[in-house]
Parts: sequence; structure tokens; C-alpha cells
Amino acid sequence: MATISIPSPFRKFTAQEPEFQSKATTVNGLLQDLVATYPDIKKNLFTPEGQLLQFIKVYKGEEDIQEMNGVQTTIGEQDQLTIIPAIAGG
Amino acid sequence: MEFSKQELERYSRHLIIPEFNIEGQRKLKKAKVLIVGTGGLGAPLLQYLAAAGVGTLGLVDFDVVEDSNLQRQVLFTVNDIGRSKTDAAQEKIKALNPHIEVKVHNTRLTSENTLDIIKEYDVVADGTDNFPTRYLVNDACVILGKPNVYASIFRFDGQVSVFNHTDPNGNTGPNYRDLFPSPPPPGLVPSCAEGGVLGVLPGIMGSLQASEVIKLITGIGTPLSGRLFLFEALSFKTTTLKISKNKNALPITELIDYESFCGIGAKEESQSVPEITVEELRDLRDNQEDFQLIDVREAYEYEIANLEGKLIPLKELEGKIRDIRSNKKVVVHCRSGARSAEAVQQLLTYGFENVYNLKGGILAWAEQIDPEMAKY
Repeated sequence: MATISIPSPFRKFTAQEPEFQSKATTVNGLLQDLVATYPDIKKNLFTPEGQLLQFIKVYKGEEDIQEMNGVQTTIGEQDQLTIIPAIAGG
Repeated sequence: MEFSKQELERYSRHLIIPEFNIEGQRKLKKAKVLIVGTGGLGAPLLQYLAAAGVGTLGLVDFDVVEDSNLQRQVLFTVNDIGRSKTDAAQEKIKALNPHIEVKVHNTRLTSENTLDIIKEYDVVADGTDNFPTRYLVNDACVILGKPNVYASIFRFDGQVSVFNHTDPNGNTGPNYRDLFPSPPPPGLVPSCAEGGVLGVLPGIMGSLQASEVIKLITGIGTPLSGRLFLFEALSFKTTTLKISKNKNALPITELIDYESFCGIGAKEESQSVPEITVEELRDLRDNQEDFQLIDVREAYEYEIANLEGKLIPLKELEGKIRDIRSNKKVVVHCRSGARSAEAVQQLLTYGFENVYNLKGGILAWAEQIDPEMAKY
């Protein structure tokens, strides 16, 4: 199953779980599984129109999915995905 | 650019690195670096860049040193509490290295003054603690063509990158807006003051920033341009991701209203709810009036300081509405007043009519009513 890392600021929506796994074959499928499991995270990932929010980056390995096929990017069992949020502390 | 005997001895560990040598040290001495924010990231940045011999260091901050800074802002001591951060920092840096020049900008960066301040420097290091200033610094660096060495932190996690860097071939790398075109809504990503930060984390990330600044100035190594370095202290996981320029990004040609861009004014407006002041709460108590005090912070915050209110964390409010008495006056508080405003908003929608937000929260109580109470 592909694994996605949940960033610290978002773990309040995933019962503090740092990772989520899914059998989905696309980034979108994985994110929809994530939202189905943790509904509170939805409005912090997607616009009401279903687009990824602009202060969120999703990476497959070292690559930004926007540089591939966006949320339609395919994923395999060994893939490690990461959600990168904007943080501002200094 | 020549060095005195004292300087040559001081910088000898740089001078004997073959790739660095006296040429690298000359470049450092000639360089002007602006450090935006003299907080957690600013402390290691200032100390290492001063020690390394950067000729001119500019400091921007408008804050004063507080007790809660000392857990991570290792530039300051208890003797500095209440002093302006820039003054205290300048004193420490001059003591560390009398051979460099320190310029103080004891001001808040705004769209009106930022271009004038930044244009005097070669490199900017962003160590601020809020989204409006991060976008402001980024945009000013893009307009002026200055590299922006960036780091930010939250709890146990840190990010570092080099934005808007132009390589020797004239190619400019991505900037902060290429990574995050727009900021999160207020309240989603807490600041260090709201969400906390491991004290040593800014030491680590600020040191990485300082290293990138030195690399940019001396031209040695490969700068962290087009890449984002992530550090998770708890798992000791480090990741370096690629950042590309956003082909759809609008050109940055002028500075804007960054508070508005980050939704800060709108948030305050939407959270306009009935309020009482800490003085009015004290009077309610002194007059033994019948009211219910609700504390919507977390249990770990209650342990630090409390007003003996009934603890119902904000996220549990909906399920515990029945614990709140709608037939009497209800006062809701949190740390600074934002979460409790949201709670009052919720209670109003549930039909509560006599419900008030404590303006400024328990921090205002500690400031104005009970100086013995711990502020956090």
C-alpha cells in the first residue's frame, strides 16, 4: 500500500496519526480514502470545488505531483507521499 | 579588502580550508546580510554570521525580549528581558565580533519601508514568525533581485530553502510563491506562540540558514535553490524535495497589503462577537454575580494557568453544549481570545443570548489583573 505522511499541523484531523496507507492507484484515490477516514481534513486539503489548496503541496517521492499529472498521478505500493504545509514559525 | 592581524588570527580556521581561503573571507567581509527577525532563527543566524565575519549585518525587529523567548532565543539572557531585541542583539554581536558593522532597523517591516531597507543588502535571511511578513519579504526580494534564504519551524518540524537565487548563468530559481502561491487561512497553522516549538529546533534550522548564506556569499558549494529541505526532529527524518518555478504564477511587480492577502483583517471581522474585558470579569467575580466561566483551551494549557473555569476544549464544544447553562450569563475564554471568539460564535448559533468572549483571554488577565499568573 502507498503511504502518505501527515504533517504535524494536520494531525489534529487524523487523531494524531503521522501516516496513512491506501491501496489506491492514484494520488486522488489516496486523498479520497484519507478524507473518507478523516472527514475533518477535507476542507484543509481541498477547495469547495475539489482543487488542492494553494498552501498545500503533495509530493510523490521527491517530485511535486503538479510537475507530473497532478492528483491523477499514478502511485504504486512502494510509493511514499508527503503533504507539505506552509508553516511560518521563526 | 585587507585584514588586521587580529582578524587573520580570528578567521584562521576558514583561511586554511582550501576551497574557502582568504578569498572567501574577503567576500564575507565585503557582504551585507539582512536578518529579518531576531527570534529563534535569528539568534543562530546572527551569532554564526557575526562570528564568521560577515562585514555588515542588518537586524530587523520591533519586539522586546520576554521570558518566553529564552527557551530558544539563545542570544538573550535574563538581563535582557524588557529590552528591545535589536539593541540587545546588537550589543551581543558587537561583543562577539568587533570587526563587523551592525545596522539596527527597530521597526516592523511594511509595504512602505521594506524595499528601502532590503535594497541596501546583498542577501536576506528570513527568520520571521508570520505569513504576511514572509510574503512581504519574498516579494520585496523578487522585485529587488535579492536571494532570500528561508527557514520556518513548527513544533518539531522545520523547512529550509534558498529562494530567488540567480546562478552564475543568470538563471533565477523559484521563490516562496512558487512553493506556496497563497497562505493558509488564519488559525489553521498556528504560530510558535500558539502551537509551541521545540527550543533547539530553531537552533538547528537557523544554523542551516547561516550555512546557506555563507555559501551564497562565497560562491562555494551548491545552494539549496530549487530544493526544500525538511527536518522532523521526532523521527529524525530528513527529506529534500524539488521545487520548480510555477509557470502559471503572476509576475511580482509591486508590494501589496499582506495582512489582507493573508486574510487577517477578514478573520477579525468574522469573529466579531460580544465581548467583556478582564476588568469586567474581575468585577463579575468581586460582585459574586451568577455566571458560568468556560475555558475552551486544551487540558495541557489549563495546567499552566487557569481561571478555574469549566474546561471544554473548543473541538469538544459541540458535544458538550448541555454542560453550558443557557439561562445565565456565560463568559468564554482561551489564551488570547481567538478560539473563544469561535466558541462564542458557535454558542450564538445554538441560541445562547447572554454569552461573551473574554477579550485578550487569560493573557490579558495575567497582564492586567494577576501579575503572578504565568504567561505562555
